[in-house]
Amino acid sequence: MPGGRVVVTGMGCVTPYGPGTDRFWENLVAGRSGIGHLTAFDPKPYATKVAGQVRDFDPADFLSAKEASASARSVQFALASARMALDDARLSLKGADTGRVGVFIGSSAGTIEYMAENHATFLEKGIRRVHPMFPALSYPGVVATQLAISLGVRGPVMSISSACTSSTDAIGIAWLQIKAGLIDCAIVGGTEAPLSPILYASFDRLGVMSREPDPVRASRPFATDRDGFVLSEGAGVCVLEAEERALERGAKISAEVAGYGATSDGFHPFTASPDGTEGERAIAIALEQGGVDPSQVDYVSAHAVGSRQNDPIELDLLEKVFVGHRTAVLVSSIKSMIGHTMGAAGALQLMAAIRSIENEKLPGTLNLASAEQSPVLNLLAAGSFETAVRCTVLPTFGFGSRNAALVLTSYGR
Amino acid sequence: MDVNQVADLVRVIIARELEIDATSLNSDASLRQQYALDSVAAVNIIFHLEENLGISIDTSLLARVDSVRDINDLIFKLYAAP
Repeated sequence: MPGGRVVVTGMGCVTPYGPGTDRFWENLVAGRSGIGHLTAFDPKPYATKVAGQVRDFDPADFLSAKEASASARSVQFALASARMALDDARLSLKGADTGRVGVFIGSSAGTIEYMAENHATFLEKGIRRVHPMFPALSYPGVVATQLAISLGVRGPVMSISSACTSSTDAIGIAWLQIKAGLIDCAIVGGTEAPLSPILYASFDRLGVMSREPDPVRASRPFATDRDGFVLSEGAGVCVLEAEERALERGAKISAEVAGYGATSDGFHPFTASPDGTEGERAIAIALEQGGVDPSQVDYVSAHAVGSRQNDPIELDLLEKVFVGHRTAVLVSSIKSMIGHTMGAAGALQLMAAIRSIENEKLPGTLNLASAEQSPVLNLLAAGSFETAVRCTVLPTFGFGSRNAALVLTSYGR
Repeated sequence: MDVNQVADLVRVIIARELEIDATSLNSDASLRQQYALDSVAAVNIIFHLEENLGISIDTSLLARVDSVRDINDLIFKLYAAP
C-alpha cells in the first residue's frame, strides 16, 4: 500500500568479528576491537599497517562451490549476509512469486580486489588465464545481480555506488520503492572488500588512514588525537518489508525505517564542505520524511571515521540539527571498533542501532579518552550504556562530498 | 597426474559447475540434454580445467563432445601430449 510503513524483519552480516549479527552486536557492546595487523598482503611498503580484515569467513558455510568459485569477495560477503538475513526473517524465496521483491546493494569499491587479482594474473600468465566470465563477475552491478540470481529475485535489482553513503542510499532507495507501492519486500544493504594493495596504497599516499601501529588504538573517531580511518571489510544485509506484508505473514518486526534523505555538497573529491550545510539538510530531510522532530531523537550512530578534517564537520552539523530542540543527544561511532567498511558502513550502523533498540543498550566509542564535548551532544566513550532507544539518526558521508541519512525508530512508536 | 587423477578432476569440475554430487554424474549421459549444460557452464568448465591442468583447450573441440567420458578422453589427450 503506497505511503505505508517500512519495517526491518531480518538481518545478516559479515564483519571483522566474523559472520553473524549476534557476534557483531556482542563484540560492539563489549567494547572489543575487530581491527588487527594487516595480513591480507605485505604491509611493509605502507605507513599504515592495520586493517579491519574479515578473518573467520569460509564461503563454503554459506555459498555453493560454484557460487564461491565464481564470485568476488565482496559478492561472497553480500550473499552470505543475505542468506543470514532471510533465515533471520524466516522468509523463503524459493518457489515464491518474487516479482515484488527487490535487491538493492551498495558498494563503494565493488569488486576491486577481484579485478586487481585477475589483472595481475593476465599480465603474468597471459590471455589463456583470463576468465571468459570476467566481465559478468567484475562489473559494479554484480554485487546485487549475483544475489538476485542466487536467491531467484525477479523485482528491481540495483547496485548503488555512491562512495561511503552507498548502503545508506541503497536502503533509502528500497525504502522509497516500498513506500511508493512498487515492491513490498527488499533485500538491502552494503558490502565491501577493499583490501586490495592498489586501493590501500592510494589511501596510504593520501595520508587519510591511521598510522597508529597498535590495531586496537588505531581507530579514534572524535578523539582529539585521531589520525585517520582504518580500512575494513564487511557486509550488512537486511530484509525490508511493507508493514502490511510483514504483519500478514506474522514476521518478527525489529524496527521501522522511518525516513531517508540524501544531498551533495558538490564541493570536493575527498572532503566535505566545512559549513556542513548539505549534511545537515540530508538529516533534516530524513527527519521530515519520517515525521520525526529533532527533539524525539535519542541517539545518533555517527559516521565518524576518525578523520582529522571531517569528524569536526560532522559534530558541527549534528549540533545544528539538534540545537534548540534538545540537549545531550547520545552519539557514538561503531567505527572505533570495526573500522571503516565504506559502502557497507550505513547498513552496519543500521543493524547495530536495531540491536540497540531491541536491547535498550548503546555501544560506546572506543579510544575516546578526550574529545570536545558540547551541551547538545553527549559523546559516549568506551563501554556500553543502558538506555531506552526509540528514535535514532544514522548519517553517512562519502567521497565526492556526499551526504545521506536514515531515521530508524522502534516499531509502533 | 595419472589418467585416474585427471578423470577425477574432470568429474569434480563438471559436477561443481552443474551443482550436483560428483558421484551421481553419469559418465555416458548427454551433459547438454540430461544435465542442462549451457554455454556459460561450458566456458567455466574449460577455464577451470585449463587452470588446474596447465593446458590450453580449443573451445571448438569441446563443442564436439557431450559426455563426461568424451570430455575426459579429450582432456587426457591434451594433458598427456608432449
